[in-house]
Amino acid sequence: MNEVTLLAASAVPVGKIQSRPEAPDQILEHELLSEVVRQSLAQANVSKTEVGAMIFAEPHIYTKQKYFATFMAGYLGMKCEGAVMEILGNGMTGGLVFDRAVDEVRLGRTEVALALGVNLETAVPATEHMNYTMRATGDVDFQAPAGFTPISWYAMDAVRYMHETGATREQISSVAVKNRKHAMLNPLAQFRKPMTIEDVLASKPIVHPLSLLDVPPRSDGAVCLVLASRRVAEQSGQPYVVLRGRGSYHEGVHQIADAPADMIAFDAARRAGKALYDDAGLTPDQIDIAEVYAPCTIVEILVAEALGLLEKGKGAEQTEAGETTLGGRIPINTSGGCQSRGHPARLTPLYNALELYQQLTSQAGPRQVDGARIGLMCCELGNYNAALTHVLETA
Amino acid sequence: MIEHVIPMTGNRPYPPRTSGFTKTFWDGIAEGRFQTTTCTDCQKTTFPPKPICPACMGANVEWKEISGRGTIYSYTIIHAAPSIFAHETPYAVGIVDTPERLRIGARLLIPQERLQVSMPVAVGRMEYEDGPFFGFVEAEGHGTK
Ligand SMILES: [Zn+2]
Repeated sequence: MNEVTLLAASAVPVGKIQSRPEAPDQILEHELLSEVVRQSLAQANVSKTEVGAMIFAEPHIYTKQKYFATFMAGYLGMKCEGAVMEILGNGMTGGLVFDRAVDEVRLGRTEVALALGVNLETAVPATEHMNYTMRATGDVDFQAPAGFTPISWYAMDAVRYMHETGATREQISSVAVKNRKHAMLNPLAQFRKPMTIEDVLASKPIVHPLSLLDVPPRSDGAVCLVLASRRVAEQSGQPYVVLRGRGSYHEGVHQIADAPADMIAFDAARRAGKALYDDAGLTPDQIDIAEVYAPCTIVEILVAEALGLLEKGKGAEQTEAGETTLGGRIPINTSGGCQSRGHPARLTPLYNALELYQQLTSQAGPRQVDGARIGLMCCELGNYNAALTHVLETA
Repeated sequence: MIEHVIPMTGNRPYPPRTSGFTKTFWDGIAEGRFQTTTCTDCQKTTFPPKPICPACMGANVEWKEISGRGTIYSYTIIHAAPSIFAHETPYAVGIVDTPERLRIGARLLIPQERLQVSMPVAVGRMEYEDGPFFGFVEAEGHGTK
């Protein structure tokens, strides 16, 4: 098995990019992504002829160009010995893209693989988008007819967590305030104005007890990561990070088990975390920073607890106390997280990898975590029914 | 037995499909029986009903009427809904654990201010104009002491 490095990471700022259908000047998916690919290859100091695999996040159904991966291979004139393909895995899509691109290098099929994609959805109203996404987060015959929405499951995590631990709404929502502080320092973030806990609590209710600023915004994005062999990375003369370990687990559940179980233990994240720590020979206290896929405030708390970064049942309290804030014991989501960096859903794990790349190569500017050498990322699907973890380390 | 009937306005926003297999379940809802499948080999009861046993992967399953009683494990109130459900907002959904050791996700037809974790509930038939669906109501006698 070959060692794999993350040699470059480029992206457009997360925000509203998708054109309305009637707009005379349309943003085209391939034009948007091509420029990001160009930038990432320049940053990596590798030529396009060295790229031997391209793994794409499957664009949303709204994207006009179909068979996007092979179209892009033609548009960019990329000749590849390895895979050129699209991946779809709900919220885990970007993580699976990263994982598959890593494998192309690890297995020696190529020395340079791209993990990339576009996510364009914001011109479609949320209420319309949900008619489609509700079918991805529940049984379409036995649950969808009741009106469950994707984030309604996370809201039920919050109600249960408050019931079991006595955590307050303010403590849970402190995640959003912390993430906004981080986003204010991130030029790629969607929301960068100051925000207080009062703002979060006063925002309109979405899914009780979560309100607008606890839940993810609608976001577009485009991102390209360059995965390379250690040899190519060393020759490039550019900064890079090394993949040190990985873990994954699917608990064989879609949203809820068919029998009573501890839903808020996020067992898939716990097991994927344990697999990661075993693979990397690390313990949770050795992690310097973490970028976790957490669409809602409560999710960040629960996944951090499951990964052993926060204490079980105390995560909300510890977040409010600043342990996960920049300068705290274990900074989490220094990018600004889904609430403020933004949540281009199919790319979020790739944007998370980009944040780790910037932090671990000391390119994070004013939000740089001093001495950060080991960074963990974790993504999921459903109600954390499956989790995929990676740990990256400074070269 | 489904003892509670809740009149609903209009058609089901997102009607379920019926197969040759699930017809037994949906016919039962219409006729007042809340049923699912149990494996006759390993005795595992599962929900939603399945033509195979997810525990032992056998195919010997039989329909069984279940109590339709349970308690709320968790719940939420949906204010921002898909457009097809917008006219029903705000509405509550939840996770109900039953004495048969089943976990069921469903609409909760309970006033928002009364909702609480561990509340006893009972299954009810939501009577839409185009057909039925199931949900849970507050169990009778709960909260009267
Ligand atoms: Zn069985």
